[in-house]
Amino acid sequence: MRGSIRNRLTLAFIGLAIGPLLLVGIILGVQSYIAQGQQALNLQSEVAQRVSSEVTAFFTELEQQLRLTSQVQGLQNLDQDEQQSILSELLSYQDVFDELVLLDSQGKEQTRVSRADITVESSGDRSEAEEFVIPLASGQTYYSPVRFDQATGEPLMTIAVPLIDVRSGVTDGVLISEIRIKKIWDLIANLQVSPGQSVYIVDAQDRVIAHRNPSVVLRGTTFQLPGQNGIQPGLGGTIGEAAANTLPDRILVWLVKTAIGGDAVLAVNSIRFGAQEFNIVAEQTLPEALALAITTVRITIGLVVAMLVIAASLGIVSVRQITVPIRSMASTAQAISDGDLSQQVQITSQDELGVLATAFNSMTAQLRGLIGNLEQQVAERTRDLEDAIVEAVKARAAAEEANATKSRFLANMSHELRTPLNAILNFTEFVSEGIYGPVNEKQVHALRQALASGSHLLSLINDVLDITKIEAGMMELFIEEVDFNAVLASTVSVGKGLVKDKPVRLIAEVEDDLPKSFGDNRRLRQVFLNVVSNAAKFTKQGSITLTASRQDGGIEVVIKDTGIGIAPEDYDKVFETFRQAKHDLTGAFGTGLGMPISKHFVEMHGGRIWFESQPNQGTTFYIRLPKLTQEQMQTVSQDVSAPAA
Amino acid sequence: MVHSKLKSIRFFSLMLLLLAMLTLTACGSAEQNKTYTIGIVNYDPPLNIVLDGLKEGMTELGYLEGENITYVYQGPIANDPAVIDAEIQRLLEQNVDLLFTMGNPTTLAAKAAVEGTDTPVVFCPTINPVGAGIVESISQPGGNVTGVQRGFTVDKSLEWLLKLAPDAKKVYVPYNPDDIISTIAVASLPEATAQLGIELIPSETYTPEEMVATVENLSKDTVVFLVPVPTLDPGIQDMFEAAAEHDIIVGSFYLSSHVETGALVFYGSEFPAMGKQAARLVDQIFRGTKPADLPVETDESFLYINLKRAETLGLDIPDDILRQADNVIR
Repeated sequence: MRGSIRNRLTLAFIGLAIGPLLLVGIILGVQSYIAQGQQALNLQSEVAQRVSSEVTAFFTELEQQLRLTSQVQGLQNLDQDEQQSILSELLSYQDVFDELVLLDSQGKEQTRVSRADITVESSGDRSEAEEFVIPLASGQTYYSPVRFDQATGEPLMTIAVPLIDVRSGVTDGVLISEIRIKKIWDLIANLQVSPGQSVYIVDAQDRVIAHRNPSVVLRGTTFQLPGQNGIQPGLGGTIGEAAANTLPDRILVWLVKTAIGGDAVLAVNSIRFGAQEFNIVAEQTLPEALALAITTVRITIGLVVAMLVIAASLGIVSVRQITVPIRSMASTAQAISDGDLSQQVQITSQDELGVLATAFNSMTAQLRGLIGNLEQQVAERTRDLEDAIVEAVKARAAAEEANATKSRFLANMSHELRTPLNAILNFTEFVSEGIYGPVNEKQVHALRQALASGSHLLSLINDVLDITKIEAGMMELFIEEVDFNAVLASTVSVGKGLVKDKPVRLIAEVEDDLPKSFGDNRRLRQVFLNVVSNAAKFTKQGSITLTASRQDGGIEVVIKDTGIGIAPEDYDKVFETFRQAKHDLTGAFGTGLGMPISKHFVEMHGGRIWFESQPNQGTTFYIRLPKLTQEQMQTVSQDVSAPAA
Repeated sequence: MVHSKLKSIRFFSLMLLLLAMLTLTACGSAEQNKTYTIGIVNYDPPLNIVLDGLKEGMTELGYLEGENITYVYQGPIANDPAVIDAEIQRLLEQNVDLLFTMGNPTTLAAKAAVEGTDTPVVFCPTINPVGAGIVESISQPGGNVTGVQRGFTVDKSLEWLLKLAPDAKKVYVPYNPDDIISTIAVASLPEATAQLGIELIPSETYTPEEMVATVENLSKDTVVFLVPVPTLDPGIQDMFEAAAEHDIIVGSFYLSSHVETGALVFYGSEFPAMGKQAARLVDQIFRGTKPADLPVETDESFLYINLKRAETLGLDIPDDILRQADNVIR
């Protein structure tokens, strides 16, 4: 992501700035190259033609001088001294001639003058030589191929003109001249040439026979003429004269050489003397010939680079103006998303980005306001809640304190009440049994009533004491081995006593050898007795059936009565403390503590107690107790008796 | 931000560098900024005029003395191999770019001295450099040496003398066998004199005095023909006077100035022109061409006639011969 917008925009900017320029530059360069190439070629053609004309004129003049010399004076008819004198004068007058030889009609040398060699009496026979045979036969001027002098390395050529008798018209001799082509060098050297231009003459054997630079000829340079004019490999390249100097020049030469294969614009013009053909070559090295095109390319490159710099600077500046706010916004947004709402985008312009930044800032401000409100509300609520919790804790502490006080009070009270009540019951029984003297029937009956009420009161107190201990978590069991057969037998025995005055039968169906377990014998007996006494209490007539059987290794005791039953709306209240459904039939009220206490004791023994009941049909209580070891019993009882938090 | 700033700085530097390169390539045309030093070795005082031609030629080619070219030249030195070698060593130690030698002995010594080095040698003049073992061939010199040779016109020069002195029967050509150039110069003369039908009288001459004494005792039908003999240079003027006194005709292949100081005719090299011709070779070497690829060039010969001298001698020179002269002293 880093800088991607910036890079793309900058590149686009530069591309837009340079692309058209480059295109125009390339088009201009190519056009200029083509036009200049053509122009240079025309120029070279002109030069080649001009030099051809000059060279032709040069040879024509020589030929005319030779013919003039021979004809005007009737050279062949003069004596030898005169011939020598005339030829010597011609030799010194025209320094192109290296040697002049006059042959008679038989091909014998008559007279010979030379620039370098001494003149000797000669009678050389050249009757077989071409320079004699051809002019003699044809009457035409003979031109020999170019040869190179051994001592000086300079090119020489023979021109021979026939000597024609004026009267007979017969060819009666030949004037042979050795031409020093070296003199044409000067002609070429004196040409006004453009920079990089070169003119030279190549003979039919591809030998360079004339060049501005004598060394080129003297070293026997050859040059293979190209098939056509145009951009071709020039001579300059092969003799090391055409080295391009500057880098653009070298690049251009390399390009053109690679593409076309030439390093010079070159034009050839052929001229013919007798049987000899000479090619006048005019060439110009590419960098010079295409100077304008190179300048165009150079200017284009300069402009491209300048535009590159300008476009890059402008691009970077404008792109920065765009990307800096965007990046700032991006980093602000990142900071905000990380939770720092204090960040603000710096607004640097009034354009679209400025509007965007302003909107962004106002959005952030709103968000900050909203979040600030929310936090305040949460803080208030939290404070309220904390206050409430404090209150509640205080209230709970007060309540617990009150409850503990109540329990303490009840426990104390029960104890304090039981002691005198036991004394009352004992003494009342002693009196009723006549231990302190005879009592009548009426007195006995009253005493029995007092005794019954006292006992009831005692049991109420015991219940209150128990429930108080349970609620205070102070109920402790006396754990020993439990023989359920014995406990149930005792229960049934007491139960029978409870129903002996009513038309109710207590039926006990207890399995023999119920499994022995550990627990508190007295408390278990209290549970069973409580359920049986409740059944007895709420059953006017019919039966109470106590069934005990093995169940899952433990026992199940079912006590079923045919009493008034429990209304469904009272089901929930059966095991609640101080609740007892009021019953019209009995009009009796208990403490309402028996069932909660029983439930508690059953649970302390790891068991369960529940009931099924239908009003006026009866109630069935189920008590299930597992068989426990002593350790298991201790663990279970402690877990259950722990006071609720 | 810092990162992008650095990046743009780098970018701008690159652009500046490109611009600078472009400017450099645009301006880097072929300016002759280099300066050159030419060390000159000469043992023959009359050849000093070669230097005039050389400097003129170099100036025309754009080498201006004191600006981009320096000529190290202490004047003619003794014709003694040890002295020549010492002078060449002195010049080489100065790291001259090129040795310019005049005459065969200095050229041979220079050729030996630069063997195995890159220092080029340009000679001007020499006589028959191939025969003298200076170059392998005219068109392909090989080695580090090239230059301008004198045309092979000794024989022709003698012929011109005899044309002007048709009555001469004998020719005295003073040369010193100890002076190698003179030996080379006269090598072809026995054959030429035979062809020209003239007697070549014994000419071994070791001192200027000897030369003057010989000329004083020459018969009237004898002519004197001068070839380059540097050891005899000091006696030339005395010899001319003696010749004048005894009406002895003198021709020269040595120096064109002899025509002005006592000779009747001269046919041979114009040394300033030769020097100018050599300048072009020097230029090409400075531009990178190897001497081995620069063929030896040959100079032109020129005919000088002193008409006054002819009149003094009572010679009638035909018009057609006078017309052939490049230079007539009247």
